[in-house]
Amino acid sequence: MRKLFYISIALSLTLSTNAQRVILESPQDVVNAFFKASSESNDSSRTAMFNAIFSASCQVNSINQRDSKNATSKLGSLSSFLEQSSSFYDSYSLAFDEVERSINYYEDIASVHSLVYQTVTEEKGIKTQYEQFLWYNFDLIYSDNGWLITSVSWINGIDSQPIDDALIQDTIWHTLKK
Amino acid sequence: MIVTSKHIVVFISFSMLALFSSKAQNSPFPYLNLMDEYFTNSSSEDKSIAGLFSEKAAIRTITYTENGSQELNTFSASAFEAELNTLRTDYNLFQEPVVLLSQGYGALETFFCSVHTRLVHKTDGDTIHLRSMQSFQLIINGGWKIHHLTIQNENLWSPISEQLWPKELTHAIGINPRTAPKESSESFDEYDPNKVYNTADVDEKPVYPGQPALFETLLETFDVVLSANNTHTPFTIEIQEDGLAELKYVNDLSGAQIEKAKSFVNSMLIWYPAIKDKASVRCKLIMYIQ
Repeated sequence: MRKLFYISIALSLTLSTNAQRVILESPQDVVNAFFKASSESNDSSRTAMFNAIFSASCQVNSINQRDSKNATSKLGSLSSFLEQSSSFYDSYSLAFDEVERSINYYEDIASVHSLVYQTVTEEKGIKTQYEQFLWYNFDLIYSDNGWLITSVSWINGIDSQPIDDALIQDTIWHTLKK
Repeated sequence: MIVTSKHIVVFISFSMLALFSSKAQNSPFPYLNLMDEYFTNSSSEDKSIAGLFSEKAAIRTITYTENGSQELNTFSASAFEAELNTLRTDYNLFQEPVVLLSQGYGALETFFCSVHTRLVHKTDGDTIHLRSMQSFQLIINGGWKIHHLTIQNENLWSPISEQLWPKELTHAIGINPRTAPKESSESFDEYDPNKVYNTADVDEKPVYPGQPALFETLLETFDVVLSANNTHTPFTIEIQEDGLAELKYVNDLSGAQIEKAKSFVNSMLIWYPAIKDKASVRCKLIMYIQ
């Protein structure tokens, strides 16, 4: 599982400085584009696809939940994240099957939750496959006629706690002071 | 605060959570302690919020100009705190969450919440009420920290839904949050559908339909007048909310007068009813019959 996690966070992309932005008119389109980009094996295509759906000064955050009490996270910008994972796609291919998605939004901000089943396959050798559930949370904004990701965080499921819990929404009412 | 957690309803308050803050990581909802601290500290001049954010956290604000144009800004935690401190030069700032939609797993927790902000001017005490939607990403990074926060002030053309601004919680701060709710200086009687008003007590008296001559002809036909005199006996009719006329007080009338009064009322068209406080009300009229 640990190896699988490091594989999953090693989304190897190189930052393109002159990528053309694609206007996506719904948060759903952006999330679809994110998973499509994450699955893209061609370096330049993948890089362009990612840069088209992230805002300036966006954030990427991957969390490795090792057990119920221990977790580590890698935080950073999209560019720093891509730099740190440059060799990943040479060795592995990724596939995402989205299980469930929910969205909260108001006007120009949206928060999207997505539960996905990720399959990582070694490109060389015996082509070993690794599989795991991941929960993604995307923060998006609507700016200049389209939606963009401002922050994405994801975390892997562990055996001792059903990751489906991530999609159960708690509603909290706070009594206001007069 | 009411926490509807995995089908279990728990009643809890932010102030109660504060009691746990010294051992936040041991509390059942440690990420709620962080939210509590954020809203408490951001409402206090002498408390900092920068330490509640992760080192690389970003705060984005979306506001609108009066012509509806969007303004987007991105801050670090310290820059955001500086912005709040600038605002505090002139205003005391108070903000509280209203409804929080929470989802989480392991070391990642999210809140999508409606927030009520009060800006109280330090000199004249004028209060500005603001509504906003705020999206939080929280992570464990040396304890729970806010990693990303997006704040969108309410767009006047797109009010926040009742689900996120329920009357049960917000009635005390008024319906229109853009301006401070003010008590009306004019007292007015509450509308009572069962009350029968005198003509002096209504805003508009009942009006008989058609030309005035039509009503005058009706009066003449049944020997009825609208002013007291020595030859006519008083009685009352009541104009209902729907404009129907009913014969009421006839105790001073003879048997023949009562029958004539009945025919008089039955001959009437439907009135325009009396109006009080913009509502139709019942109203009595005194008339005199020969």
